[in-house]
Amino acid sequence: MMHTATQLPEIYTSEAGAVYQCDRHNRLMLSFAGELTMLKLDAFLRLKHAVDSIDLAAMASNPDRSSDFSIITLCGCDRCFVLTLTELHTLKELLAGAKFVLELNRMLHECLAPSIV
Amino acid sequence: MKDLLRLRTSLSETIEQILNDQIKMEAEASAMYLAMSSWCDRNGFDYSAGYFKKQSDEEREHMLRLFKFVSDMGGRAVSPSVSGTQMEFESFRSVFEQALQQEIAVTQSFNRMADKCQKEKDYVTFTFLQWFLKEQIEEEYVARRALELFEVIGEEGTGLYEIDKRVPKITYEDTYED
Repeated sequence: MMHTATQLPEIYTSEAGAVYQCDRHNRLMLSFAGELTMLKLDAFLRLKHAVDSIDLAAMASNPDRSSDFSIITLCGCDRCFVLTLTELHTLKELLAGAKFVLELNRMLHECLAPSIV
Repeated sequence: MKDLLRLRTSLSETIEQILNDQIKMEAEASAMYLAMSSWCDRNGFDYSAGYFKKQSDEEREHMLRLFKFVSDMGGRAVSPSVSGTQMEFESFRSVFEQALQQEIAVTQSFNRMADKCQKEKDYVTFTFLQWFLKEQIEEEYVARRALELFEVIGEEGTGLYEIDKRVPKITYEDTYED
């Protein structure tokens, strides 16, 4: 049975949401805009890449009504993200924070691994 | 907490990305050489058509070599999409000029990759790249020599016919004596 998000180790939290890690299923859990999304690491990295590649400044300066939103669909994720400029900005920050902690965790593993053996 | 980033592969995200970029570059080079082969064939340069077909096969083999490495290392090798391949060329000479330019671009790309591997301390990939770095010496030599034939033989009279005949005979000797 899957843990609830609150029982899982927290990777990163911001005012907009949180990212948790499920070690049992090797998944990341994204809590954002009132919804929980389970992501494999691959999908998480793809989501980060997709969000990072959106030009927020161009969106903000574009007078078209359609430019107020961006739709992100991902392979390996059953959720379709329809996000406003503000949401994109906060999600970008959240994902960057989570990625940073994952990298930090990787470095710790690398440093500690020899002493474990 | 598990290290999810290294659970499936020791390749870093950056290295996986540059390897996939290189896979795409090799696929594009293969497509370009095939287009050159087609152009030569259409314009009566029979020998060069065969030469470029062989070059195209080689580039595809390079692509597969990179593809296999990413897969073997547990990474995500991406089958690239290639579109917009140039089909027409200005002249027989310009085909070879472009081929040399392409090889130089590939060499520079592998140099940048090797540099990135050193910065990321990924010596497994760095060692893997040695084969390609060495291979580029030959690739550049052959492309440069082919272009030099235009100067040596000259394009007047039966010049182009002679150049075409000589192109597939270019070989690279990997010894210091020759």
